[in-house]
Amino acid sequence: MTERQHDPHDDLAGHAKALLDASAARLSEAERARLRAAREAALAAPGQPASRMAWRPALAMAAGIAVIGLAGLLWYNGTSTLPAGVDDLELLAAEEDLEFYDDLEFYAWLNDSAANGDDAG
Amino acid sequence: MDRFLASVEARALRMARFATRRSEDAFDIVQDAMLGMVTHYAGHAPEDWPPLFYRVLTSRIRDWQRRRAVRARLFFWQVPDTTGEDPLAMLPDSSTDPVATLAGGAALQQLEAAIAALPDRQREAFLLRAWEGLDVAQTATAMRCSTGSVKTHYSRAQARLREALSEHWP
Repeated sequence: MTERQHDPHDDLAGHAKALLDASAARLSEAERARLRAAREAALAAPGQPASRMAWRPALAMAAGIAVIGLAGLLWYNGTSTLPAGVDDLELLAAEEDLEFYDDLEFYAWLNDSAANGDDAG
Repeated sequence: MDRFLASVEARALRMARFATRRSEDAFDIVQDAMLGMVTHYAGHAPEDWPPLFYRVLTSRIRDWQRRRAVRARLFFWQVPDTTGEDPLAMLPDSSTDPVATLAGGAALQQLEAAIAALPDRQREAFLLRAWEGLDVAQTATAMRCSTGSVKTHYSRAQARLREALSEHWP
């Protein structure tokens, strides 16, 4: 698992791991139950990439209204270029997961690796 | 997949809490990451699951951070919403094991404070390498960066942590 040669920093890493492991093992029963429920929900709903973050629709609507408002203001002022920050609004209004856009290259690499029989690990 | 997710969920929750300092958002992020993992990568070989899961997790965290930053910029006139922020979220649960707390609680608090103070990428690299045990290549997959960047982030994280903890740790 580790490819590090002996290094004083390994003592730090080892000590940190031991403490963090102990901390993670001391989750409350309520937290464990909640994680278990989340895991079961994820396993029970394959093929449903929708996020459970409920505030997305409201924020997307607000961002859409803001974009319309900005466009109207620009039209009124006679400009044709959008100010910086509109990309942010589009980002907020995007229905796709944000990682979708960042992952296009990764998905292509993953497909290439699978086609070539590469070990992705 | 069930056993794998059960094996990583506690660490994933802690990582999300380090990044967000909000327990509720951390739970949401972990559940989203589990859903994303099942949806996109369940068909991959099990040995690939660890870096892929943490890739999804770090992406979800990054999404949360970006949306929070954008929302703060767009709605700057609003008073920052600190409800739900839990400054105690990073502290160990001392109520469950008081004996262990006497021995390791202070050290854990110091460690967690130091980890939380790391820049995001350094924190990710340290937790994935030192805690989760991913190798450099796997960590690069999870962080979507080069192996060289992983080594740099990890090295800097170690240096910062050692400096921050030098007074408390041998």
